[in-house]
Amino acid sequence: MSDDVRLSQQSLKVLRFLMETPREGRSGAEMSKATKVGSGTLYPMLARLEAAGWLTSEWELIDPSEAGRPRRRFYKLTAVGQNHARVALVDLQFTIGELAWKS
Amino acid sequence: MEILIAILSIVVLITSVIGSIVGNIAASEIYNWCPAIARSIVNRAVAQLPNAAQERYREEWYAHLDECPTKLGKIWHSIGCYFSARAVSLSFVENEYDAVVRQLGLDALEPQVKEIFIALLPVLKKYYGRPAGSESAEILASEIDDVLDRYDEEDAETAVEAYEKIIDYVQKYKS
Repeated sequence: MSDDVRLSQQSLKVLRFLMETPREGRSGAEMSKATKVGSGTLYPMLARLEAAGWLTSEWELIDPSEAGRPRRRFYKLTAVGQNHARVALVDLQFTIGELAWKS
Repeated sequence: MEILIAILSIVVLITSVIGSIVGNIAASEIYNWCPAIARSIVNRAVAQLPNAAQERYREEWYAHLDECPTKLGKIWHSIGCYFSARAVSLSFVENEYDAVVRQLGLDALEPQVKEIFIALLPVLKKYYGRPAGSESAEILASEIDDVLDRYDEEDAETAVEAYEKIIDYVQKYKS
């Protein structure tokens, strides 16, 4: 696990979305729809954040053959991830505030 | 001359009408094939992943595909999966490496050795299980040398030793 995770604008969007309901798991499709981050960016980001221990993921509790569709994978912030996300989002707000003040 | 121009105009008109009808039919056919095309692109994306990750991402990406509201959205999602497969693989291999290293008590490996190991792993995985002495095994040997040449000799030896330990572990696990 690593704390050294580079955060792009898209990562911050996803983290902000996950922070809205930190106890609730969100699927890739939900994140993509809400944040407008495409699959090509979203999945490598989720894999990186999961490898770094910021996120955990688990399968939707359904039987795919009964439901007639594949299971979704739900991602949730870990306690470590929540702390990092909080700091990153506060930093971002501070930077935006600073830029607004300067302009 | 005027008759010729009139005939040509009629021919152009008929051709453009037929062309537009055929074009529309073709476009609508292709649009209807979008979900199947998207599924096939997702399959190609999944094939690029390490074996251990394929099952998971196939189901996850199919589930996402089902939730795309439009047919073109499905294609867009599948293309995204295709181009993200390499980056997802790297994270997965690194994660898998961390888990195996922890289980085998190899945490003490120097960071550079870990870097070599990660560089080596995709090459080794590609040829894993190929019969020794075959042409592919020779290609493997030269590819491994190419990777190792980039690093200090001592570190490279440690990485290969670590890899052998891991292969032993995987074989025991499989049996």
